[in-house]
Amino acid sequence: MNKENETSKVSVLDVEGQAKVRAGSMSIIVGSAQNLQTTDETFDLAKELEGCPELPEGAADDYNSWLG
Amino acid sequence: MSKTPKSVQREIGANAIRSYSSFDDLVSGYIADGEVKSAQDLVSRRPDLLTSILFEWYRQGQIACIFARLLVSKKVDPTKWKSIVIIEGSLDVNELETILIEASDRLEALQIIFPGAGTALQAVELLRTLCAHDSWSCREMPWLTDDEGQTVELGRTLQVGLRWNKPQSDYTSWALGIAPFDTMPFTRRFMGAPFIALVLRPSPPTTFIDPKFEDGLQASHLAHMNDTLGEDHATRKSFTEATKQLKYALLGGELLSTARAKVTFSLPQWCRAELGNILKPLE
Repeated sequence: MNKENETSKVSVLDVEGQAKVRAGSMSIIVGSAQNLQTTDETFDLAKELEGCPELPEGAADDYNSWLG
Repeated sequence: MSKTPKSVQREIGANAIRSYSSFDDLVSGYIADGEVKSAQDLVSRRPDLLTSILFEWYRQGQIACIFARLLVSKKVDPTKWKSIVIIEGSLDVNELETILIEASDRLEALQIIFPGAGTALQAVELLRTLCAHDSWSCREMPWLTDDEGQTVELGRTLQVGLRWNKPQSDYTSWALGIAPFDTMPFTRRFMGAPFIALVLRPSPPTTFIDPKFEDGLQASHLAHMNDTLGEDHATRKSFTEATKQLKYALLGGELLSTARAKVTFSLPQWCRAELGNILKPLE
């Protein structure tokens, strides 16, 4: 972590990077996707869908029901 | 970091198998690099790594949602999607309320990781703790119905929707649950994870998708997040279609009812008695 010592009374949302903070009695470690260790993969939608079956007839129409 | 194993296999079609990492697969890289000695060591000594691990799990795609993958891959603005790990045993729902109220003006999404056994019982205990505060509630969600109200799926699990309602607001935030126990749908089931995570949008809903209402409050959920595509409606449409297709394929024979945005946890039926009257019944 960037900061190993707990920082007291810092708003969780104001923490940049990664840090351990206290919020009252809560001990919280704040982080974000910035800490993600990425690989050299690139996102390829066509590859994502390779071999993926088409939706059955009528399923797409029901999507809002089964998604939401 | 060396190449990450992907031991979770999902057959989605003829000669089409998708592979994803389990929690132990993702930890193995940290062990190989000498950062931790074991998964247990990671949780006790380096719980900060849980955030990266969960974001990597999203990036791999088992969550199905293409938008989530896009946002994570682009390392979404950390001022808009924050992740917090609440150290086991320290959850204070009143302090969490303070964070959520502040987040309602600032964040697109807040991810909260609760280290623990990762069991259905941990989910029950979490629900009990949160719902002791007036801003939280949980309700049983019905099985999927058709346009005429006929049930089209009927399973043997208990679907629970967890909600956070900002005080004096007109909306209710739908929490999405990620957990390793086996009644969770595949797209929300992070195998072997020693935690339960909730992801919610504490801020109000946006206007670009059709509103949904519960008890007179408009739902605010993760589909309301800014997808960073701006006016690129063609890409947005293709990502939406791709998400539908992938989600359907990855769920396979599992019930669609369990994976809806309105369902936080799909629990074993014995959890009903454990939840008692904190669970609002079906309407």
